Amino acid sequence: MVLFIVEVNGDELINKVVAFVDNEAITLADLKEKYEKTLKVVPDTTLRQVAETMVNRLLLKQEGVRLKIVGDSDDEIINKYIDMSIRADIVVNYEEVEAFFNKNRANFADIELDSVREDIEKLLIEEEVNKRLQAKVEELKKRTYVEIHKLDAP
Amino acid sequence: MQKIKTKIYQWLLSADHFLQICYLLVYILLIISLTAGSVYASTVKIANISVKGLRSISESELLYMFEIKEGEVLDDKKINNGIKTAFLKGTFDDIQVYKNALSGGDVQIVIVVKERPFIDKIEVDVDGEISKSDIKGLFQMKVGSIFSKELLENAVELLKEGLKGKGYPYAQVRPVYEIEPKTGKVFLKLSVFGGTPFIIRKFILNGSDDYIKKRFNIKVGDVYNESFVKSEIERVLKYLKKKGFYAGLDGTYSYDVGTGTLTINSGNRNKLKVVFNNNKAYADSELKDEMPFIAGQQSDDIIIEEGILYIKSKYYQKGYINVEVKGIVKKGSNVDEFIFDITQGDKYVVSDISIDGASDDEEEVRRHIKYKKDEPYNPDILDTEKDSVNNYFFNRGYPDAVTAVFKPTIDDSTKKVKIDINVKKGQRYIIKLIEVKGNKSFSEKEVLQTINIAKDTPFTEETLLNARHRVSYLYQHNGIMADISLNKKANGSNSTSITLVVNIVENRKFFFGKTIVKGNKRTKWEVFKRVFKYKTGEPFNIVMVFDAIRQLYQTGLFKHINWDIYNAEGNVKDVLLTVEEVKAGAIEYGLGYGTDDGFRGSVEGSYINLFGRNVVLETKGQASESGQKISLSYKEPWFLGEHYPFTTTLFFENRREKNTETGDTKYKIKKYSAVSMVEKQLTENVTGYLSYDFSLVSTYDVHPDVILSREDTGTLAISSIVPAFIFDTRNDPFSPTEGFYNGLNMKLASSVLLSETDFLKLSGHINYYKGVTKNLTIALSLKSGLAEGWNETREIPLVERFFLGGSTTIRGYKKDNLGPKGQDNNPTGGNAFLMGNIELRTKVYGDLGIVNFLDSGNVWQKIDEIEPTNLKYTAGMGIRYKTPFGPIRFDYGYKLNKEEGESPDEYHISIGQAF
Repeated sequence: MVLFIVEVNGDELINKVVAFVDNEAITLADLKEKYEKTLKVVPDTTLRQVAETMVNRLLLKQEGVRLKIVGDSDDEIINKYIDMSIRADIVVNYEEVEAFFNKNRANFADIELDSVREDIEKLLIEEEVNKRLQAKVEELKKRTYVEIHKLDAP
Repeated sequence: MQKIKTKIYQWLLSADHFLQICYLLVYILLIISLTAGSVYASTVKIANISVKGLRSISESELLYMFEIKEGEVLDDKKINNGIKTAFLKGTFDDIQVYKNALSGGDVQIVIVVKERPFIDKIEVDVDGEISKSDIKGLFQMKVGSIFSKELLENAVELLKEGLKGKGYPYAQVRPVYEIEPKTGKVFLKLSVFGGTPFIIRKFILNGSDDYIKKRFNIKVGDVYNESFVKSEIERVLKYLKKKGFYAGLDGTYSYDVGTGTLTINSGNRNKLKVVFNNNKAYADSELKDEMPFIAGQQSDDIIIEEGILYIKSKYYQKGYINVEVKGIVKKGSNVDEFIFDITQGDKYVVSDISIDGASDDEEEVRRHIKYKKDEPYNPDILDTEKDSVNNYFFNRGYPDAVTAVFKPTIDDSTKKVKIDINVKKGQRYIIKLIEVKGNKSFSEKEVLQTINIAKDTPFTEETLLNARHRVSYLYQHNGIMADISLNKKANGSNSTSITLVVNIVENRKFFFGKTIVKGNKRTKWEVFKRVFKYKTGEPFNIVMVFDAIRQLYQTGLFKHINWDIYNAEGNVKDVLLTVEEVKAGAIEYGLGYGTDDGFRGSVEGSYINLFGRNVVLETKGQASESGQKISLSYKEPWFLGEHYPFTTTLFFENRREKNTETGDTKYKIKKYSAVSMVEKQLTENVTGYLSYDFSLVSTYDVHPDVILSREDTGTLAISSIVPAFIFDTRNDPFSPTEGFYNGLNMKLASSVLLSETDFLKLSGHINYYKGVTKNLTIALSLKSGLAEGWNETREIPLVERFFLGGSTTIRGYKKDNLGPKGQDNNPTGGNAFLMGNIELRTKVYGDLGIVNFLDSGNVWQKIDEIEPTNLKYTAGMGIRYKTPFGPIRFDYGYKLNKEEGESPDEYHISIGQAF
């Protein structure tokens, strides 16, 4: 926590903008809070990674709002956006599931394909969601005013 | 199974896969699941607040968004929310907040902002044939846009893409910019090098001849501009359709980069001709215009089939129920003929309609249905009419067993059709009780009052919907998200009495956060703040936001206002208004002619956003054959911090009043006035006004005939106060068709106010407008005025006296020519008048209308001389032509009780309705 306190000419920094997406700001206080909580789940995460993820969230939320997706919270809008605009378009066929199973046969030594088919399908869908999400975020970054200010390493 | 899943998840969460595959999504979802909103408790107080780096908005606007005040306890959460709220305005690149501990334990807060640079000027330099306007159109950054290096790089890439589409695939764009540090203004220069463009070296129109090719504005040697080629194809297609080729082009094209060949593919080269044989019921053009042809989209068979159905339905409408239509296509070398042979048969009309089972509703059903006695029988609408009767009963409280059977009996010998309608209404349900469930925020009594359904009301779907709508509105109005459903339950078996159950599931309650305004360049924050009737922390109500937007539009300062709602932390919603300002200054001028003033010219200059506070400065000058007027007005829309528009006007008038009968001068006037007025909207329809008027009036060259008192000649100071009330329910101020427009006005001039004359003048009017039919409006008006002087004033001064006659009063008389006259027959005006007008306003065609009118009234020199039976009457008619600034008007008025020596009639040309 101490690492975030900055003093300039005797004035103690309370809070500031650390990143923004168009007109929506991410503050130091928000980043700090998210970073500390993320550390508990993913210990090797960096401040920059959390800031980038927060930026990505804002990008996706803004795109959801642009597409008239409504929700009581940002989380709801993002989830709906991912479901409606990305996940809904993904179809995984049997051949792909089988190929994945065969490729990772070593991990499924004593397991029949049919018993894990649904889980592999879910995994492949999530993999594809992720790929498309990555591409979408990159595309959104190109047409949005995004900036992450220089962050002090914790 | 659980074991298997665990294995997969272990594999999923292995470091490599986590980072490579699911990194982004997992992170996003992980961040979502982390709850926000930790509060940093503090007890230190804010001693003072200073802001640095602010240049485009006021400090008060910034602090409103932060919601912090000196003397308050420092709240880190407020600071955190304030930064995010202020950022929404789109003005800042960075905001930092510092605290500085002071000796007493309190702190000083320093807010340091960095405003975003914005583009002030864009200059384009082109090397090549590309037009500068094309480049400016394609370049996404505009004057006023936020500037950043990244945004510029993206905009340049998109410009290059756009130029590629215009035939310049190798175009290079070099941007150079300069930022003025003090103001943040950016000067941007784009140097564009077109490079070698794609040239059309060969133009082929596949499958067609020169006739169509010549229609294209594309020639060999042109740059291949794809968007232009597309627009040309659309244009030529439209042209060909107009000329009768229904599918002249198929819409496809290609460009070969290697050879530079542009190929556009043509479609059916033949013209379309539609022939109706034996069509007697309609004009051929009427049938043809409405035929459902979609060129190039359908096969010939479908076109014929749809054409037959269409013709039949048209003939059915006229009662030709046995019409037969056959259609064929004849393909020729130049023309495709679609031929329809029509055998219309006999016409059938409705002879009688009998309705059984409707009891008291029979007449209403008869009025409701489209079938009428002696009118053509159309079999096509049997089903829709049945539905219509069913809906009628459904909405009257018979939801269960309503069946209406329409049975037509066709008599081929008489060509008559008798329609028997049998109605089985079934049970009618009556609401005996209303139950409210799930209400927490409002009492049952409040919900029932909102629903507003009286006991014993028949149950209908409409009642249900309206009740649901009203309850939803109640909840929305108070910021509560709630699911509302209504259903009915019978009170006992076979009972027609029911209980209406209102089920309410209350969800989250939202509150107003901050309202952020962006896009305002000249308009100050206070103009916005004063129309926001809601406060931070109050229940969120979107209707109040709409009301604020409506009031902002009423200022006349904005072209567009867009709104967005942002979910802030907790159950708080911030409102973001993005405004586009109009040009605040305007100069208008006009020339005109009116029978009262002759030819006239006017010029008007106004500025509606003085000091950025919506203060209006307006000057007007008008010159006509009868004189000149100049005025300068200052209007403050909010007076003493309240919404009481306040206006001060300086006015000069130089006028010659003439006897309109003889053309002789009656008198001349020079008038200097200063009027200050404050107005207040008392209710939705009533506005009150209070003004103070000081006038210095110089009356000279007065014809002895019109001098009634010592004050009628020479210079006179009139100092008066004028309270007035207007009651206005008109639906349109220029050409009303509904409502009242009533007014009451009192003018009190007294030596107490340093006036050189003492009088009290009362006048009032009641105007009523009623649209009788779509095209006919009755307009009625009753006006009256009384004045009395005291002290030295016997007759009120000439300039204050009442006159009648002219285009807005009694139209059989010239302006001011009715009433008491002097020895030389000059009208003197009087202290009392009474006037009534009746108009029948008929819309004839488009914006053209005619008016028939009857005017009556008279003027009396003194109040005790009033004789309501001694009125002058004129009747007449006029023409109106509607324009955006009111109708242009020509009226002809004829005297019904003309006196000897008077002209029989008068005409008037002017603008605006008479009343």
